[in-house]
Amino acid sequence: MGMIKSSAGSHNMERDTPPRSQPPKSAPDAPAPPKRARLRQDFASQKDLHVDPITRNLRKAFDEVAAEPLPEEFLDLLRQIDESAGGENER
Amino acid sequence: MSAEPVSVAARPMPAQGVADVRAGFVEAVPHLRLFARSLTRNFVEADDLVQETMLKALANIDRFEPGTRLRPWLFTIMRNTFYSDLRKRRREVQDVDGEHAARLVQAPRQDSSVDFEDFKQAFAQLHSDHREVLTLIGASGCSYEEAANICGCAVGTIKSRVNRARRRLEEIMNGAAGGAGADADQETPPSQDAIAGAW
Repeated sequence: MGMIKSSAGSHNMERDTPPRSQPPKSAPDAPAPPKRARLRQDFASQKDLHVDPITRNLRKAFDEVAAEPLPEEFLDLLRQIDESAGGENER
Repeated sequence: MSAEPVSVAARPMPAQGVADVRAGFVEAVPHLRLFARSLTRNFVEADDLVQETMLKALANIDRFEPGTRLRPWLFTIMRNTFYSDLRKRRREVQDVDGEHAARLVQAPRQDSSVDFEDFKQAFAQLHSDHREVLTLIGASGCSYEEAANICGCAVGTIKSRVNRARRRLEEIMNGAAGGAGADADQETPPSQDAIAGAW
């Protein structure tokens, strides 16, 4: 497949070639300092108690989808990724 | 929309990082399925879109920067694929007037989930721009910046879309609870599948 180079900031809907992935502006997955992490957890649990109905229903929609079994086509794809990796490792 | 037969064997991936990509795919699948349903409002088309997205991502895995988040990249690929396919289909097929409207039949509801069913019906009536920002931010936990990158617009635009979407959703739920009142901005009325099934 031919690679069409596009600028990293461009998000034209017309393009078929997947864009380059974007680095996060901050590092959300980086571990927070323990104290701040605790405060954040407390805040999150407080927020959950008062979450609005729209957010609650959006999360419920996600939970429903996440609970569904994966279609066989997806499992096939994952198996092929495994096989592809296995083939590379044998070289 | 129909995904091509699955084949990644012809494009071996570098062994290093494959486990990460695989784990990222597994983690992303429910998010992708939900986003695909919000775009297509159809279960079957949504899963085809997820599969097509994953195949495109694998075929272009060299464009994924290690250390960046996989999920927003996959969302971007999915969105581009969806709108690209949509334009192709609009050129090929013209919808019969009233076909969708005729299928606006209210789905049977269970008392235990009336609120959620009302929500799903209202959500299906939103404009596609509103469905996608609520799904990305409210359901999948994307930041405003990530959603802006995915949708190709400014952060301020995403914020105002979210506000308008929430306001519109409340209006539909309060004003037309359980009804199929159309969103004035909506591009096409939701089908029965959209109301009953596409979350």
